[in-house]
Amino acid sequence: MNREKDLANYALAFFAAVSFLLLIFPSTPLVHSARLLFGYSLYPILEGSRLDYRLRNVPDNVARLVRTDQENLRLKAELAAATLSAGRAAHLEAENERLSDMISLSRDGRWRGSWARVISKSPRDWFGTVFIDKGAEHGIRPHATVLAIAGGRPVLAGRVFEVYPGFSKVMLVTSELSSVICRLRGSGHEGMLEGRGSRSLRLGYLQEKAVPQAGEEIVTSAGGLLFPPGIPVATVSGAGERDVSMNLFNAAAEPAVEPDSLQEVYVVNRDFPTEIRKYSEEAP
Amino acid sequence: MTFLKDAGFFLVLSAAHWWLHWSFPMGGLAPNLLFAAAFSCAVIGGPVRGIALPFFFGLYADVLGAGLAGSWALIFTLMGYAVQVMKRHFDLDNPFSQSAAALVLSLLSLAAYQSAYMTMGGLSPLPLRSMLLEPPISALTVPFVFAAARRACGRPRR
Repeated sequence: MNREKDLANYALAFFAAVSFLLLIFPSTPLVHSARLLFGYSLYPILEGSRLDYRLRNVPDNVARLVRTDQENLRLKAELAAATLSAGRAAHLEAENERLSDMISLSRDGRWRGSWARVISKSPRDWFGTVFIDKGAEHGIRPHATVLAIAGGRPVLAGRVFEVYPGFSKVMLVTSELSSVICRLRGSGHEGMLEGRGSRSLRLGYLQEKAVPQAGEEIVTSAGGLLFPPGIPVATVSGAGERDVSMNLFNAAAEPAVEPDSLQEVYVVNRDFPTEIRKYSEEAP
Repeated sequence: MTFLKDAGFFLVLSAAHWWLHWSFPMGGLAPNLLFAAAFSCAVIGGPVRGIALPFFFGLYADVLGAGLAGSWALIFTLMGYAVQVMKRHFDLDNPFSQSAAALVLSLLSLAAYQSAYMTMGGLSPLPLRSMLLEPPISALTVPFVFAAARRACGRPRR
């Protein structure tokens, strides 16, 4: 028993002496700094009063280090939010520009019609058709001209193919079924612009005299019944070949509007004379 | 082997205390697991182990706290010695006596801490309400920590 008492006394003396030494030497700031840095490196989320609570009795230089890191975290979060806002602003600016162009088209007065949004697209007929959110209930008629905005001006996107009460199906100029009577804006020669089910078009039935130049614009022709004349449709992209059977030429072309960038379109309501309308509605 | 068990218990309790006080400070009223562990080790351990382990728990409390480094180490060392003396006169193996002893020792520890601060001329970082609420909370915590300590470090030694 006495031995145990002695041991306890020795242990008390030893550990009490160590504690006293710790108390006497200026170890407190060192201990608090180590504690804060260790805790902060494991669990760095501290805010407001909790941060102040943890930073009490900590030397200024260490406290400044932690506060700087906190500020850095906050600024990083702000930067991420600002980047997000800037991205959204750029998107809104682009949309605003696009919608401004559309409004200018509506105010132009050349055509009467209505705007429609592209609501669906079939993967099986990617370059062929799109669905728009306007139908017979909105005054859409079969074979109506469908315009889009490209480069700030209206261009031909296609024509209404099928009309349902609340929506319509639009055949794009790139569809394999599409053919539009056009003319070269420079030479004035007419030809038939046909879709090929891809991004490229084919301008056929060109006379020998017509020498299409790369980059030359192709516009709708007055000879075409369905579309108003003078609307840009495509651009010549390369010289074609001679059609041996008919002694005619053709040329490759690219559509004026990218078929996969259509978001809003303008459906033109045209009042054809009754006979022509009857004919056009019977047309395939 | 005993050393490894003690070290394991120390690490687990220290980590639990740190996590509890860092994540859920509850205005400084989270259970003081270090006090409960120091008390339990003093009851379970012999004359050297029963003082050494409270000293190390006190040292860890100094590292975690915002007070004077070495103050809790000294107080827990004294508490360990007091428990060694009490063990000769009381049975500290049952929960009620543990709670009663923990209540008194916790109060004395806090009073000693405040006194040490007043002696040094500083203002104690402990809120006054902890003087009133911490002893009962510690008294309730001690039996559970004691059960864990007995499982980890072995049966009490008289």
